[in-house]
Amino acid sequence: MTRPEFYSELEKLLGLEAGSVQGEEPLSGMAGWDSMAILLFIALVDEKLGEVASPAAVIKCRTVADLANMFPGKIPGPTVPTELDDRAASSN
Amino acid sequence: MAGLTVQGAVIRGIASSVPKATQSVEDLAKLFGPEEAEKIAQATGVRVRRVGRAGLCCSDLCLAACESLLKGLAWERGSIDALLFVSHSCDYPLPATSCLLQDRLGLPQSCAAFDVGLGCSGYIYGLWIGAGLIASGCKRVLVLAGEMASRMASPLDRTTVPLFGDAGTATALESAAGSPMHFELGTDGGGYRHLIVPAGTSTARVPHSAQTLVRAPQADANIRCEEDLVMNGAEVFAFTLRQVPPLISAVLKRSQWEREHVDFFFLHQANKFILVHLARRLGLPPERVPIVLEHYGNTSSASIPLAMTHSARESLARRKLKLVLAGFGVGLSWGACAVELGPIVAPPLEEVP
Repeated sequence: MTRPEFYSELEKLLGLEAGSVQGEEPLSGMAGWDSMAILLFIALVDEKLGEVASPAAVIKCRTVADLANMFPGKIPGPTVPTELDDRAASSN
Repeated sequence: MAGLTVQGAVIRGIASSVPKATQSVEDLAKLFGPEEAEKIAQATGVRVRRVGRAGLCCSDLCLAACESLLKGLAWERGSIDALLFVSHSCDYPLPATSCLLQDRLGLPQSCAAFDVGLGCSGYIYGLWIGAGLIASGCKRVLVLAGEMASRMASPLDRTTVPLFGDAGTATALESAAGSPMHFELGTDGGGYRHLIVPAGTSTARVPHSAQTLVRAPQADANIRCEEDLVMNGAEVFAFTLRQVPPLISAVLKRSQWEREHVDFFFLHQANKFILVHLARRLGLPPERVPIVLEHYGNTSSASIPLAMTHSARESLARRKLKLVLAGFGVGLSWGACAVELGPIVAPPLEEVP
């Protein structure tokens, strides 16, 4: 699953507007993020990723991106330009 | 996971009983407000719970179920070799409630009687122990499973009080040639804190005191005391997702049944959200995973036999059924049984005033 797909699933789960979740949003105070949403999130991860999320780890997450970072093998991290990429770009 | 197969024990009958008094979503609305009460009911699937009056004990419910069952079976009481009472809801800290039930049921003094302190998984353990007793030489065994679960919850805790209800059941096992009973059982005591009554009685780790009875606001915004039931719903759900799918697969493998050969999967009636998710995760059609907690709530060790008598009583009384039963929860403890049974004696539900 890509990060945009994961964020889209979260938007549906929380009843948020499409495209409103970008990753850096804090979970604390986010509309709909309560104990029921945590259960729904655990169910979502089980169904879509085949993983059982640790509730203690979910509660420790500060941002939406932290939730995605719990599953590095299933949700690849965002593409970060490397030094080699920068050199290749400047030589063109 | 311990896997076992027991030969020569047959389930002859199952009966259930509940308190006559009910509490509904409308009653909850008076405590938590109509919107919150409806939101909780949507998540749990519980619309009505049976709640016993003060003074009514789990043994009273099990007694009513057992009297109805023994009448239906027409068993001589002197022929019963053992009685198990599976519950956390005992009449007294001591003696064992099973001893009182032996006397109240008029069972002979030659009858072995003992309590088994388990909840959500307790019915499976009760069947396993009962079948094992028959394998060791008993001819007839009664397994009484029930809980006064409503009484353990703080009335001001929205994570527990809307969910739990009271019920008692009786199951009769007999020595006879028949299909084997297959069991898978397991325990993870490391998760004991996730579903617990933290204090109470003089011998508990946190003994009863005036302080343990003081209800106060907790970190989760609910009001309870140390002698009230505490449930970490997310941890219990995660435990269920980790353990139940492999548990069902293991018991099917042991019984050499394919999923499509099973008439019903009677799962512990934890809550609707968990049951619906489990059924989808296991690829089971909803019509073969009965959900009855709308009418009773989560009744702990009684929930599986209560679901059986509620949703399949006439089928059980008429024909042979292939069933997978699975209990999981407090302990943390789990168990499953694959059993072919029927026709059995299945009296109508008893309602106790």
